[in-house]
Parts: sequence; structure tokens; C-alpha cells
Amino acid sequence: MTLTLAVNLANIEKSFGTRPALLGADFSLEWGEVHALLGENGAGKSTLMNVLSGFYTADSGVVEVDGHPVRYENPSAAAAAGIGMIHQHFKLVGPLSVIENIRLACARRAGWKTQGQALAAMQELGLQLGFKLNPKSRVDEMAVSDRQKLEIMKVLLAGAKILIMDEPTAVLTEEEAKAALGLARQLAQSGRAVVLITHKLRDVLGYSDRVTVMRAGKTVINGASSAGMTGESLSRAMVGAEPVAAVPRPATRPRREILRLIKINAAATEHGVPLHDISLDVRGGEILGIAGVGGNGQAELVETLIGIRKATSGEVIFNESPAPDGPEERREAGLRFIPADRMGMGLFGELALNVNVAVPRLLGQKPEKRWFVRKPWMTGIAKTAITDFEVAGAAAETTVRLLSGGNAQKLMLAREFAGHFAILIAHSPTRGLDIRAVQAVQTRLRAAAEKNVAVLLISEDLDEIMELSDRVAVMSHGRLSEAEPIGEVDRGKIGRLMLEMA
Amino acid sequence: MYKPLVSPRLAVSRRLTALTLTGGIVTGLIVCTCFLLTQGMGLSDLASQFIGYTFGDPEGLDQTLTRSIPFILMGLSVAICLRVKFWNIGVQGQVWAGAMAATAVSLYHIGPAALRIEAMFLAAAIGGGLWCGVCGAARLYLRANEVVTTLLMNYVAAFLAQQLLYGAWRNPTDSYPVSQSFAPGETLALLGFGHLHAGIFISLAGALFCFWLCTYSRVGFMARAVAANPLAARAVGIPVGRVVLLMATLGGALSGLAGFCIVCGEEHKLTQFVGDPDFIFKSIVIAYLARANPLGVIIAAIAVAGLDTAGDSLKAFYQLPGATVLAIEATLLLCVSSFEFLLRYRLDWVKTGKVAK
Amino acid sequence: MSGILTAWLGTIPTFAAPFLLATIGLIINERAGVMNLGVEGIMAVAAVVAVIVNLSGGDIPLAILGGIGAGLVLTAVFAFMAVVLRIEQVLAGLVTFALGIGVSGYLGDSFENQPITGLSPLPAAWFAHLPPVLAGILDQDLLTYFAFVAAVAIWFVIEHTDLGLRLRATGEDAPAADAAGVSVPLMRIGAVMAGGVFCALAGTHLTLVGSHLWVDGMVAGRGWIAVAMVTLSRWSALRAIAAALLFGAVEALVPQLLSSGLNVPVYLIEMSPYLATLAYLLISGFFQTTADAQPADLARPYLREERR
Repeated sequence: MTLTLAVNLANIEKSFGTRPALLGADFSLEWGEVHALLGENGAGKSTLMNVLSGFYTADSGVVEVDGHPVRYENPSAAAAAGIGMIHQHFKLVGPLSVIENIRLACARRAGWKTQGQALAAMQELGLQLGFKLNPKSRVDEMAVSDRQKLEIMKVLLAGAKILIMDEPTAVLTEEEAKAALGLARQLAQSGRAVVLITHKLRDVLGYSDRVTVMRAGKTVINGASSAGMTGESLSRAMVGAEPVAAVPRPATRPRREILRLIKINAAATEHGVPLHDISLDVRGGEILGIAGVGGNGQAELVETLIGIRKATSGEVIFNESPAPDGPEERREAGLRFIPADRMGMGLFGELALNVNVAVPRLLGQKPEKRWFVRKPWMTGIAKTAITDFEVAGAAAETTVRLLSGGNAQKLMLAREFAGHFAILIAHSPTRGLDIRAVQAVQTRLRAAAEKNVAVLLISEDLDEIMELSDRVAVMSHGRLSEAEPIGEVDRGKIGRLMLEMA
Repeated sequence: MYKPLVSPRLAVSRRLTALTLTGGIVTGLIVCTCFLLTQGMGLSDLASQFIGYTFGDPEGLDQTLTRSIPFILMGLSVAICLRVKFWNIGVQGQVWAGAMAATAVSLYHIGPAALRIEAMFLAAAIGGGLWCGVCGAARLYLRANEVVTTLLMNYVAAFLAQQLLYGAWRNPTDSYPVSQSFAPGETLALLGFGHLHAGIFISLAGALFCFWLCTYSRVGFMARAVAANPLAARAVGIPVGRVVLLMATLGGALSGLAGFCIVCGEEHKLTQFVGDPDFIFKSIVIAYLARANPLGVIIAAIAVAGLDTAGDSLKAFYQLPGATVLAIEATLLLCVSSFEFLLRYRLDWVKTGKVAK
Repeated sequence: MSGILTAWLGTIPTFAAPFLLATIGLIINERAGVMNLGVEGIMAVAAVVAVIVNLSGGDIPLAILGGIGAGLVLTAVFAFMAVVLRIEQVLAGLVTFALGIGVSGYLGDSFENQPITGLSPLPAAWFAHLPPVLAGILDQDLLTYFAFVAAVAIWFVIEHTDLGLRLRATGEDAPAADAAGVSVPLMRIGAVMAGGVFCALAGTHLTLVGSHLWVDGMVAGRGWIAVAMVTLSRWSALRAIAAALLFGAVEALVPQLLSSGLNVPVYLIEMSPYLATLAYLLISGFFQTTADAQPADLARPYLREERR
């Protein structure tokens, strides 16, 4: 008996303006399976699934759902056909409650007329899935893993038969990730079809039936069984060449302490947690890695370090004296910062490249120019930045938001690494970058450490922490564990620490 | 079947910018011309009123240029504030504040007589600066929306002025509610062409100063960064609050100086008509047409002043109410800002229905 | 003295109603994420057209409809600019305001200062058995009553119906609303037009109930005060009732003081509503809850294909 495919995508092409995202991608999905869609950042996985779920429209190609050719003009149409996408960045309305979010997405499709009907449906589904959510909680006050559960419930109550989960484990701890992936299994076994978009090899190998690998907008491996796959073969398919060698770690030579935090307490950001008695020290020439899932105080820590958030108690020490207040003064004292959200908190997307690199040099007590900032000077520094840091596809006057993620990050580095600096705070510096850009950034971090800079690396990517750090600490629920030398730490220990500190 | 697909435009060429601005202005002018034609005016009448009289006739040119003196400063005021995404809807109030401050210096003989007019200049700048600066501070520290605060301050200033003109500052020898006239040393000298007075130098100097500030000074770059991304500006160390406050205060001071030019250059006393409510919208039109460029403000201000002059004769000869000029300016701004859509977005036509294999 | 008190209290609802109607209209707009600064202009055109219709022989319902129609035409211009063209909403609002003032001045030029019959209060006999103060307060016209009833009704729709839920979602997080199946542009246009109806009603109230004639500039900044009132009401139509009554009380005091013969600084008193609004705005800034109440996606244009 031949079963119709739940989904068949063939030769899909999609461009955003002049930027091509999909160059002929294929994907097929069977009922009852968990199918992993693997690829590095920028390969086109999310874009392809956004086409399927009606969020984008393909420029050309075949889209068939349950054997019929379809074209969805908007997410509503796709949802009506039973396609539910759980985005990496949840599409929940923060200030509304759980039940309001569910009603918003499902009321019309499920035919509910009263809140009572919605509540009943929600409770019934909760029993089936094995978890409970408080219908009255405000979404923006909920934990990330609960919000993901809400997204899943929302999509199921709207009648989804085909579920697409975009990077579901990116924001979860090890334990939560296992639970989420187990849920995916359960849903597939109940007759639905689940797509798992991920760039983590372990998710693929442990939890999927088949895997499709994408690279640079095309499909490289189309629906092969996961059983016979190895990490190396998948990695090679993702990158297209031999896996890139890890950044070499030089022998450690401990130097003088440059940055110290003593029992820092700080209030929480809008969706974060308060800091509780954070103490750490970073020496010149070393990379201190802080591991941990986002939302556990990293944002607050970073804001306190750069000076835009005042600690309620505790001290920040630069070079054995109290750090000055304010980001301008700390920058002058030698602090540099690479934010996690490079377009949101780092670069000025609307402005030109030369203005972006010039602005920090105009600040502080001894700015490079004060009264007459001239074009030739700006162009000069811009050109140097572009060449030294290999920013591709850009000229001095290019608007920064046109740069790709990797090149934007290289520009960010060019800006921050200018002049003499002693402390570098790097917050998720390789998030969303393709493998070559990741390598470039990591090399720069190592190089900075070699020049005696005290580097504080805060990252959700455990592999990155393990590879780069000289010492490792774990951040959880606003607290920081004792930093331990890399030799004495492994993934298991980190996972345990995260649980202990909960 | 085809349907339109809107997507953000990624790169904007300078040529496209110039084209859309021109397109917007031309369309606006055509629409207004059509409307005026329906009011019984012929095309040649329109041409002679709007161009011939306004710029060609000495009397009309005099009126246009004299009016443009405060308009330049008011346009600069809004433009400077726009540079940090601060909406200054309070130009009328700031003009009043500057005018009242200058008048106070004159009436109460503040400062040595030889430096009286300089003191009035300073007082006007401070008065206007405070009137807007307060709203800037309110936005910074109290999250108060500056659109509403600057706007309400217009009414406060206007009523305060009325109260003074009918009360403490009223000139007993005049039947109208006006203040005592200023002494000869307290006025701006005439330049020999009609009513044109020395205030023109203040306006032009103001424009040059603003041009330098925005294009070459480090404050200008900081302002650009703040407008583009205030969070990133803060993170990199720019004192965002101080920059916004500075620009807001400077903007207010410029409007205050416009008030100074009106009382010391034209009226030579404080009158009920110094602060015209129409200033609010006119200054925004000027700033927007000039795309917040200080040098462009000079041209836009003269154009709007010319529109006013033409409007006066329209009122006199065709019985069109004064509000018509406002409607014309609104239409112009409507067309220009609508054309800007083409700068930010691109329109493509895509086929609906099944996608081919 | 009690005569003045009764007169003052009796006129409060009349002064409060236009504020309330305009604020309700703006709340509908802003909860959907659109800031409509053109309200002053919408009120002006509605006010003048209501007068023109009444003077030309139309009865009251026709005058009201005329006013609403005129207001909706201007609102449609704003909706096109702000939602379809996605022009900066502050700018679109200011253009709408200027257009409204300009057009209303032009239309009303030959109709200025001509009294109309307007809308009368309910028959006094209905309230004769009540104490004078209460009778004075309750004896209002239908449009004033409508304002207060509408406030409650709109509050209910926004907070407790599915339509209101979709409206709120659009204003808090447009991408999430889009993903949930709400058509953001349609919802916003609908909200703007619905809000425009109430803003227009506010304008018709000014002429049909308040002054019974048209004078250029008679809206006198009430639209702007309504914009501030939305913040003060923390975007709730119910709280808007309280805010409107407060301002109505201040505004109603002015003619009482003027006619009392006391030597009062006239212009300073006329300044007081605006000063009071400013004061309230500044004071409410001290409270975090006000900032939290603002719809998160207010004044941010939304386009689905944008990669945010």
C-alpha cells in the first residue's frame, strides 16, 4: 500500500529582493515520522519551512500537501490545511494570557464560542500530552520551556496534523530538550508528521527517523534514513568539505587579573532574572567561558558589565580599582563589547559602514575628532576595517543592514577591536553565523586573548565554550558557579551544575 | 491573476530620493492647482500670483523674504529635533516664549542699554530653549510623549501671552492689546529693501551653524546614531539622554530666536499676532520638505513664505479663507510623504494561483 | 452659591462628552497599534459639516450622519497613509490634522456664527421630581448619554470579545497576531475607521450640543487633549470616563467663573485645562504601570515579509 506523502516540496526557489535564499530545495515528509531538517545557519531550512507554512510565498517550485498541489497566501491558509509551525522565536502575544493566546489562534478554526469551550479543549489536550499550564498566566511571565509547550498546544488545538518545530532545543536545558524531543516522538507516533529543523547533530541522531540536509539554499541529502548516519557524514554534508579544524588552544600562561566582579546583585530585565551574588574574575590572556541557556541572567550580567545597568550591590573592578560608571567611561577604560543581538544592540543598521566604525572613536574625553569629522578620515578607517577584518560585499558607504550576518559580525569586531583594549565581553558572538564566519570570529577571540586581553565569553553553544575557554563557569537562574579549569569539566558536569543551581 | 506584493526596499539610490521628492512636490502642486482652478482662477492668474507677485514684484518679494526670516529659524527648529526623532509640535509656544522673554528684557530694562538688544537675543534663545527643553526632559525622565507635551505648551504660552498683553504689559496709550514699543536700540536694523531686517543674518547664521552641527560635529554623529538605534547608541557609550535634551533645547532656542526676529524686526513690540498657530504646521512642512537638511530649510522656508504671500492676495482678491493655505500645505506634505512609500518599499506583481513546476 | 454649583455640575457632562467620544475613538485606534494624531482635524470637519447640514434644512439625525460621513472621509485618508502606505504615523496624523483644519475652515467660511437649533436636552419634566442638582446632571441630550453608554460598550467589546482579543493582539504584537491568522492591515484599517466614527461624533457634539454654531478654530485643542487622555486612561475606555469627567469639570468651571463677576485672570483660567493635562501627563510618568499599559506595537508599521 502506498501512503501519500504528508508533504512534498520540489525545486523550491525563493529570493528576498536581490538576496537568494532557496535555489532549488527539495523536501518530502511521510505520515508518522519525525524528519530532521539539518543545515548550518543560513542554509535555508527555516525559509523552506516558512514557505510550507504560508509565511512566505515561493517564487517557483512544487508544493504538495497530502498529495494535492497547494499555494498558501498566508499562514492562516496553511493552518487551515493542518500545518502548524512552532517558530524559533515564539509567535505568542506577551501581555495576553495563555488562554487568550490559545483563543486568538484557535477560536475560529475550532469553532469555540465561549471561553469555557476553549478551557475544556485545553485541559483535555493537556491530559493527552502529559503537562499542565495555568490558563490565566501572562505569557511574558512564563518560563521559556512552558512557552514552547503553549506553542505546541496552540498549534495542535488549531488542528495541526503536520508540525514543524524550528530549532526547538536552542533555548532549552539538556533535560528540557530531551522532554521536547520526546514529545515530538509521541506526536509522530499518534499519526501526525513532525519536522525538526535543527543544526544540532545529536537531535538528529537521537530522535529522528529520516534526515534531509540543506546547504546554501539547496538540498544535499534528501530524506535518508537516520539509522545509518554518523556525525561526521552529516557534518561533511552540512559544510561541504572536510570539517573545519578546531581553533588551536595555546598553552595557558596565567597573567594578572584585569576584571573582577564581587557579589554583584542586579534587578532583572523585562523578561529575565535578577542577578544574585555574582562573583568572577578574569585574567589577562585567558578566556573565561560562561555556559548556560539564555534567559538565566546573561543579559543582566552583560548590561551590568558594560555599564548600562546599575548593580544594586557589589563591585565591579577593573585593574584592581573600581570601574567607572557608565558605558562611555568603561569603554575608555578599555572595555569592549560584542552583543548577542548585533543589529539590535550593536550596529546601526540604517547608517553607513563608515559611520558605524567612526562613531565610537568620537566618544570619550579624547575623541579622535571633535569639531570637524570629515569624509576622507571616515573612509580611511572604513577601508582599513574592511580589509583587515575581511568584510565581504561591502564598501565604505554601504548601509550596514544589507550585510550578511557573518559580515556584519566581522564589522562589529572591526569596530570593537580598534585601538588598545584590555577587556572583551563576547555575548553569543557566533549565534546565527555560518561555519566560516564562526571560525573567523573564534580565531579573533583567541587572538585577542593572546594579546593579553581578558576575554569573557558568554555563550549558549556548549561546544563553543568547551573549545575556546580556559576556565568555565555555569550560569543558571541568576547565579554563577565557581569557575573551573577546562581540563576538569565535561558536558555532563555542566549539565549537573545547571540542575543543581535551579 | 496578479496581485501586488509589497516588500521592503533594501538599497536606496540618491537618484531615487531626488526623484520621489520631486515627484511628490510636483503632484502636490498639480492637485492644488486643480483645486484653485475650480475656485474661478485662471492658470495665468495663478502663475502671476504664486510666482510673479511672490518673487517678482518688489512688494511681494519683500513680504516673502521678510516672512522667511522667522520661518527659516522655525524650520531649523523642527529639523534639529527631527534629527534625534524628537517631534517638535510646539513651535508656536516656543516663538511666544522667546518673544515674551525678549519683551520682558525691554520692558524691565534688564542689562545695560548698550547691550540691550544682545540681552534680548539671549533671553529669547533661553526662553525658547527652556520651553522645548522642558518637554525633552519630560520625555527622558517621565516617558512623556513629546508630541502631546510640546503641543500643550503652545496653548500655555499663547494664553500666558494674552494674559500679559491684556494685563501687566498692556500699553495704556494704545487701544489694542499691545506692549509698549521697543526703544530704537532694541530693534533690528532695516536693510534698505522694504521691511527686510537684520534678522536675516541671524537666520542664515543659524542655518550654517546647524549645517555644521549636523554634518561635521561629533554631536551630529552622535545624534545620527541615537536616531538610528538608541539602544546600540547607549551600549556603545553615547550619552543618549543628553544628546536628545541638547537637540530639543537647541530646537527650542531656534524657535525662540524666531520670536525675537518677529518682535524686534517686524513688530517692534509684543502684539497678539506674534505667535500664529499656523507656525506649528508650517514649520513641520518646511523641515520635512528640506528632509531635515539645514541648508535645504532655507529654500523650503522661502517657498512656504512665498505660499503665504500668495495666500494673502488670494484672500484679498478671491475671497478664499486663510485656512486654504493650510490645506494647500497639507496636500503638499501628503503627496511628498506618500511618494516616500516608494523609497521604503518596492512593489512587485506576482502571479496568484498554482505555481508551475 | 448653590446656583453656581448646580449650574456647574449640570454642565459637566456636556463638556465631558466630546472628550470622552474622542478618547474612545483614539483608544480603539491605539489598542490596535495605530496612533491617530489627526483627531483634531477629524473633529473639525465633522463639526462644520454637521452645522452646514443643519443650516441647510437637514434634521438632527441627518446632521449627525453628515458629520460622521465627513469625519470618515478624512479618516480614510489617514488610514490609507498610515496603514497602507505605512507612512510614519505621527506625520500622517499631522497631515490629517492640517487637512481637517484647512478644509473645515474653507467649508465653514460662509457659515460662521450662524446659530443652529442643534440637539436639545431631554425634556426637563422627566427629572422634575428629582433634587435640582441631580436633575441638572441627568438632564442631558441623547448624544451625551450615548457617549457614556458607548464607553462602557466599547470597553466590553475590547476586553471580553473575540473581536476585541484580535484587536488587542494586533496592537501588542503584530507578527504574532499575523501568525495567529489575524489580518493585521484589515484589523488596523477597521480600527482606524471605527475610531474615526467616534472622533467625528465628538466633533458633531461640539457644534450640535455645545455651541450651536460654527467658528473657525472652535475645536481649540480638545483633540490634542484627547490624545493625552488616552495615556491618562491607561488605554481603558472605562477609565476614560473618569478622565473625561475630570476635564469636563475643569472646562465647565471657566464660564461659571467668568459670569460670576469675580475678578479672575481670564486667560490663566482658560489655560488651566491644558496645564492640568500637562501636569497629569508628567505625574503619571512616575508610575511604571502607565508605561506598561501602552500597547507594545503602537505606531510600528507591520509588513509580513520583513525579516525582523
